[in-house]
Amino acid sequence: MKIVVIGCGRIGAHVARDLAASGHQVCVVDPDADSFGRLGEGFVGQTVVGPGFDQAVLEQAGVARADAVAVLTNLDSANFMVARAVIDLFGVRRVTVRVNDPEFSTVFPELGLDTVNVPDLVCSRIRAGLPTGGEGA
Amino acid sequence: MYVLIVGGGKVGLNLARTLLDKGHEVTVLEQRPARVQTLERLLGETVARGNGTLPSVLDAVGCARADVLAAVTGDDATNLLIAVLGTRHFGVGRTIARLNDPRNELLFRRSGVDALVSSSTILAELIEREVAAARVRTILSFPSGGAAIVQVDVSPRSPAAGALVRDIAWPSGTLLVMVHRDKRVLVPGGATGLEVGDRLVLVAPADAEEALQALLAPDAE
Repeated sequence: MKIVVIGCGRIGAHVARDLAASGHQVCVVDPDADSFGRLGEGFVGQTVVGPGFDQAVLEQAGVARADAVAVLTNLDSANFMVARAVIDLFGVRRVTVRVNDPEFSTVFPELGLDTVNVPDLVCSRIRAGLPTGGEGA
Repeated sequence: MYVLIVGGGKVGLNLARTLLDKGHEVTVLEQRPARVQTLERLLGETVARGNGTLPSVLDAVGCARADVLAAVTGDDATNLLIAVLGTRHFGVGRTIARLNDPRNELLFRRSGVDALVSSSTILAELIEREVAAARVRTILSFPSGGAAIVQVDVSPRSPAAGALVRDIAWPSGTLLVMVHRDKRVLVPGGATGLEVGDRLVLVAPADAEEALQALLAPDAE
């Protein structure tokens, strides 16, 4: 599968490394070329330098042919714009967007985005492990 | 009318002033603390501080009852998110977004923002219009008829400059409709004399453009 990862911070780099290691064709996009250092030496995927909402950058990253796109920067407004561009301008159907501020965990889905919300994941995991099944004592 | 302005830079500030002068209710939402102080000094009570992309912040400044939401920050991603939140989450009747990079225009339009304001596009159009004034410019073309309404300025080397309308060798099928001179509009007759700088409006066949250019503005060729 061809997967484009937008944002090469800690989360983006981890996802890109993991997907590439399991045999997917991965392309990572980030405006900061130094950020690709996080991918490590063994990374076999492609990298593109530039802002993810720039259509020329998305084109260069091969978004039009991507099976899935993960939008994983630490800025919600940028993630929203990139996701809209990927969906509205390139017609990609499998787009996952990272939510940073918990406020957007209900709002982004309302605006048509499929989200992954790290703080919520941590909370639900902790709740699931509590003896009462998560209800407050 | 209640207008919520997000972004208190030069655009937001001057927009707020203009609307306040016209008697509208305005709130300017700005995130940067130093800028908030400046705005408070200039606008008083109408300033609120906060991150306008957050639904809770927009809610606190009455986004749901706003008649118009104007997202005018210097960042396109911010403006897009705010405008879409206004339309889809808060149900604001009219949203306006400032477009900083004209390359993002298509994306903004697809996202359902009501109106876009792009200073660079406006400036580019103005410059093009000024540059293009020396050339025959199509104002309106009729898709079926092969004719168009065109505009051109009489240039100094035009053989028509100083001549009477009836003596000018007009390309066949063209009709001079209007002459703009010194901010006045003349309806020309055969005895009207054309002057350098006159802006002419003509009905012309589609294939007459080159002949009109040679007749009225040969300098630009």
